[in-house]
Amino acid sequence: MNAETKKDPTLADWLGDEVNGLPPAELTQALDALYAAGPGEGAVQRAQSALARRLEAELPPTIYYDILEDTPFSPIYVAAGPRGLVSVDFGVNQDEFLAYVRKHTGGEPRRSAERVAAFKVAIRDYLRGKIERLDLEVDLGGVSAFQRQVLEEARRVPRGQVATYGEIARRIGKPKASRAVGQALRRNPVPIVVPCHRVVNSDGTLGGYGGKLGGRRKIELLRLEGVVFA
Amino acid sequence: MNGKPTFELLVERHSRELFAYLWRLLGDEAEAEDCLQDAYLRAYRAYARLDGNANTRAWLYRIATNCAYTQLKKRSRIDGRGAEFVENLASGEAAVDVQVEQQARLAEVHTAVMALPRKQRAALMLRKYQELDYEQIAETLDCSPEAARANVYQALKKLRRKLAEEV
Repeated sequence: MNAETKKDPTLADWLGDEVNGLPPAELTQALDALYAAGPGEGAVQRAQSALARRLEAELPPTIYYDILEDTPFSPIYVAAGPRGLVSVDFGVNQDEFLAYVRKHTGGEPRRSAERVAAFKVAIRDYLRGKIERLDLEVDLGGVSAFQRQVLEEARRVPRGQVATYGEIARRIGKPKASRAVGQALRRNPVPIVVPCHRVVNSDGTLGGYGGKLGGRRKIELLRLEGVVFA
Repeated sequence: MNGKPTFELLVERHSRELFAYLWRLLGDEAEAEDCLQDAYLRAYRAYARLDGNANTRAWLYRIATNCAYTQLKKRSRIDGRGAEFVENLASGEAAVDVQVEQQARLAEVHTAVMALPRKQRAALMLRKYQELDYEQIAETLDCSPEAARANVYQALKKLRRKLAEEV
């Protein structure tokens, strides 16, 4: 190996060897003219945007979660992805919650108080009666089309009121599907935010509610909203 | 939880320089864009297995280089892109002041650069324009630092000789 390659010379040093050829300055100038400035800012922006879109399309989503304390239903677990809330849960432990999120989003949830702060504050204020409605962005991408219809319809039931499973079924144009409506609501990934607790039996009884402490939670949520069940 | 940055940070920190590198290595914006995406997807799949102490920057450069090599294999042998590259440069956003008289000469230089063995061209770009040190270039090209230096040297020697012939 040539002795020259063992030092760490500048480019100009290297070019000063005995090989006949283009004057070093002319070569380095040409190289700089061609490559120093790079592809240009516009090209960089386009490439980075295209990269972001491709990664969003092919990678599992980044999901952030945190725990809301200091409410009657706490600890409430709240998880959100790039398109909104993906999961709200209470009456479970953290492992169960994270397993659910992993399964239903394909993403790996990362704890971040900052990223879900707005959602937590809204839910907390809602439970304290400070705000009337929860107009949070909810990502229902992981549920079936029918379930999405049911959940979106449930969202239209105002605070302080209830609707029956039959009424929800009628409103989505499937009057015979009240049982399926019940099942869809029981699998609501975002309780409180999507108020499945406001849907009850037509005979005046409570109907179902998901989770371990189902019935009790439903009664408590309704009571919080001024609806009393015997 | 080890000390590795999040994948999002790898994108944030290095996508710009990797794109510029791929552009220099391939001489084509569209191919560089595609390779950038392939490189990051490959990096994502391999990231969990990467040692917590690894030099992530060199690791990314290595993946990008391999993606570029794959892209280069797809090209036909006769690749008359020199003139096009210089035209784009002169008319594009890179704000390079290229006189008309210079364009033909620059096209020759670019053609000669693209005709270099890929490892020599990579070493040259990594050293001169990506400003990696020889340890990092060695990791990127999977060789020793001495071999990395030799590749830069050979690249320049070859360019000088080739272009002197064309005067």
